[in-house]
Amino acid sequence: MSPTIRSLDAYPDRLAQAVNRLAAENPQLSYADVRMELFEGRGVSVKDGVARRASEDWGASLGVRCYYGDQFMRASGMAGISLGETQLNDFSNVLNSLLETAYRRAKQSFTQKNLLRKGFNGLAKSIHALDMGKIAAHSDTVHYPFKKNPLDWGLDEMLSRMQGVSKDALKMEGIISSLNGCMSGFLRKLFVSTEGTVIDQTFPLTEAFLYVAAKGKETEVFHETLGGWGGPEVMDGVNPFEMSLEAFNEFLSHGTVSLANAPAAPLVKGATVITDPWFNSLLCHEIVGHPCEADRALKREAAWAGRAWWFNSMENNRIGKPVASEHVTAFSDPSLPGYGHYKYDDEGTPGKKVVHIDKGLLKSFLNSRETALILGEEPNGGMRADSAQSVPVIRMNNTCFAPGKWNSDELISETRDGFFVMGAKTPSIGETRQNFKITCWKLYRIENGELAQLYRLGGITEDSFNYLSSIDACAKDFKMFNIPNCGKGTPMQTMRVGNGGPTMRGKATVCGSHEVALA
Amino acid sequence: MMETSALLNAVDRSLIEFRKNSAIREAEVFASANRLNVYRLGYASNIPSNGLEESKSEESFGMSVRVLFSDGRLGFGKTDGEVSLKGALEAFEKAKRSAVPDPDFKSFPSPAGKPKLKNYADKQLVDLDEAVAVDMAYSALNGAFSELRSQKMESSVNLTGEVSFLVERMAVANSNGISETDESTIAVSRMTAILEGSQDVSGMWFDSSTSLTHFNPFHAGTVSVQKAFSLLNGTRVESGPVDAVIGPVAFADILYSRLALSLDAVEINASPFCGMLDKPVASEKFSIADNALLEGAIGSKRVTDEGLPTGITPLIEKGKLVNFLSNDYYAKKFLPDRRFSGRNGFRFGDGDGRNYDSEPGVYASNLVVEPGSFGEEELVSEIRNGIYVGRIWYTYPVNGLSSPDFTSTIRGDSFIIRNGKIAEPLVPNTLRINDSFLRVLQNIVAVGKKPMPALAWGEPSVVLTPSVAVKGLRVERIAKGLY
Repeated sequence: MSPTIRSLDAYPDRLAQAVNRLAAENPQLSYADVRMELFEGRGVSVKDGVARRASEDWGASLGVRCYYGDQFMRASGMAGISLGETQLNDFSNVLNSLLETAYRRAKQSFTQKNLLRKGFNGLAKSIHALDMGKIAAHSDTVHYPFKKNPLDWGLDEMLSRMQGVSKDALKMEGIISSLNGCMSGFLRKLFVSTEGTVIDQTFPLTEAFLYVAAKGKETEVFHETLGGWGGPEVMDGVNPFEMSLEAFNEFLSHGTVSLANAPAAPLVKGATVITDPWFNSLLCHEIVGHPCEADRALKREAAWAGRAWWFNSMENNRIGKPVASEHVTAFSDPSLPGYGHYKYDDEGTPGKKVVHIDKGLLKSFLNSRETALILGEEPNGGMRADSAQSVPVIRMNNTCFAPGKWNSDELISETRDGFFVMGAKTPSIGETRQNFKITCWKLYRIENGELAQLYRLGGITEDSFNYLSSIDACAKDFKMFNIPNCGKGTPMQTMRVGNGGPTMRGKATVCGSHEVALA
Repeated sequence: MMETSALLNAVDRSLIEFRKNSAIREAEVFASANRLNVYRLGYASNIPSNGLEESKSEESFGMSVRVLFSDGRLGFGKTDGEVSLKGALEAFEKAKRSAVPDPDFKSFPSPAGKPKLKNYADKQLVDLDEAVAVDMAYSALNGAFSELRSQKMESSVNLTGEVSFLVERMAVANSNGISETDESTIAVSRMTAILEGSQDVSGMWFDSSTSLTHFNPFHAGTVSVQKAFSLLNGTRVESGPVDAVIGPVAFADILYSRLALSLDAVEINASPFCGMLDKPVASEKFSIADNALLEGAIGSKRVTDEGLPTGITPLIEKGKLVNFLSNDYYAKKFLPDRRFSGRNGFRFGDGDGRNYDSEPGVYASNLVVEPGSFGEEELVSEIRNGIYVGRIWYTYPVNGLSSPDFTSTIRGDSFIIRNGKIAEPLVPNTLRINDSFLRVLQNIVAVGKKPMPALAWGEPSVVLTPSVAVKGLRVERIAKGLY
């Protein structure tokens, strides 16, 4: 009998006993936590209507963090491992060995950290003791609701539905390739710390991936994910697109065929652009979400993912100053029902709503317990890892632009000459997020208040401050979308996040094919 | 960590058992054991930081089976944390439960000669002591700090990067007679040094090796700071086509993003090279091959994760596209074209080694650009007036996978070229490249003679390339970050 998410019922106590014993035996251990996860579910993939693969499986992992030292100097050590049945049957030894590894690692780092501080007096004065913001100890069990049990969706039924979708796409004139897949299951996460926190969270997850290639005058490809924390009802319209899997497939396929026959977008500087909530989800992700992660602002991510243009140092930054027009408010809220939904993060901190930009003024960041203390904020629960064996890092959760008061139709009807930017495609962002080029799925010209010519290869590019400052209207039609593959960390961790916003109006350079000469 | 011999015993023993099962037409058993230690560095002179931010490891081992059943169905199953007959049987049951007919699957590979690489894993890295590993991570910081001190710089500095050690072991056997093992070791150190005063410049350097003896993280730290200092007092250039020397790190970044030459990408039209086989796609001066046999290169592998010997696959020769990368599955699917070989079937996970938990995909090993005859100074002289692009950032196919377009921003280690000489530095983050990859390849006018390895975040493969000189690179001026 394979382990299931129910197999974790007995583990919170075992985890707590192990970390408490380690703490009792090692006075220099100032803090430790243990995370354990198990996923069970099913998945299939289909290419051009033909089944490629199917699986029905489970996977588990375990990770520990130890902090060694005192208030004058601390250093951390972490260790993680994937778990099979053999390790679950020998769990005490596996966990104790992992705790010892992390503890030794922290101890060795503590020694070297002290040497560094002593050896480089001036330079190393910013090497700090590694304190963490205080949180209350919690003991809680959280089950995210679902309508249909993900585990009741059988492999045959799943395969049949995905094959049907793929075949439907291929019936459409112009579609030359269809690749899709889906999965459904449960993720259960345990968190235990030496501070007495014991948290047990279970998430149902259902997600489909659709890819189509169309041949018209040119070849056009597009892919998108339809998913949510829930059961198979997600495939029946309970998702951000509010479409069934079949309707969404038809929507993507039709649109991609029409793009394959559309002309390439022109280059137009200073254009009025109306961006839809789907596009704004990616825009917000890149130019608000990431630079509002405190580790990025505090430059701990500079080598891999860059810095944040609005935060130079503790003394020199834009907190409280304008970074956007007064029409722009942006926030993160893990209580919303997107992919960034959770009650507690992977440090056991309750997730809180954080306002990043309030009517154009930069306010605060998503943080960890350590970075909260550095920034003088309360811990707001931004730490997540893509598995228990990975180290948690600060991740945006549901990060969005707030809605305004306009009707989205009015934004278009009031525009005499501009562009409607629809759907999210691919971003390329400057190192401090100070500049972006983000492409869209469809780009329409707006002429005299109506959608006109459709273009392929469209997108917008601008300096972030200029663009955010140009926003002069936000609509009421707030929507949030799920992004399944946000990459961060080393080795790279892939995280599910929610992003969104309303339809918005601003000024940007519209860009198209790179075959079109730059003006 | 499990020994390679134990992995091989388990897969061979399991295969003997599978051969007795009449429901199995063909079977493949794969086992792996990986250990990745990552020491993530983070220091800011003006913000509280730890120096060594994350000191961590990830470890996994297990096995998987692929089974072609007598009824034509193909199944895959895995078992975590168990390498034994018991583990293989458990994986087999999963494969059986979830098997589906895949008409594109023909058979598992058959033996195809002897592997050429021998014993290239480093015992010192395999047995690396935890304390030594932590000390080496701090050594990178010490290198950077020593250089900063010698430059009398104590404020407005940011250092980030990592030191990592990967040990990967695998064994594979199949019912067609393949029985192989491989063991590799990789050490990498990367450091980005940013001087954040009024000028905001950034230098990056790295060191990589398959052995501990040749690994020098201290040097990576030192050189990154030296490079940052060399970028002070920069200038900007305006939008428009500009002739350029693209350095190895920047050119590797473009290749990582846009050289979509694997058959799995071609199959779904997710490559700008679809339909271009045997056609010119680049300047005659440009040739590139996948080469898994380079001694000391960290992308080298003895066998694939399907047990086939690795080798050299020319991809573009003198500007003509001559082949695609493939695993055994796609090589057989795209028969009768016999050029496609299964030399690139690997199970690279998320940077944590060759992993049993997935089926073989198509990955490059070492992508090697054939060196030309130009020294670095000669390349600069060839361009005469333009820019030297040393490092770029977030290079993405923004117009979709089938389009050759890409965009990227010029991050650092870049200079103005004036009158055939390197002149003042280029201010970082002030130029965005908006170009077509095919046009860049076609506009290569000279190739350097000194290749160097380059790595990209999240990429398992390695690129070895010299600098290239390119005419008419399309750049657009963008603003510097505001603080």
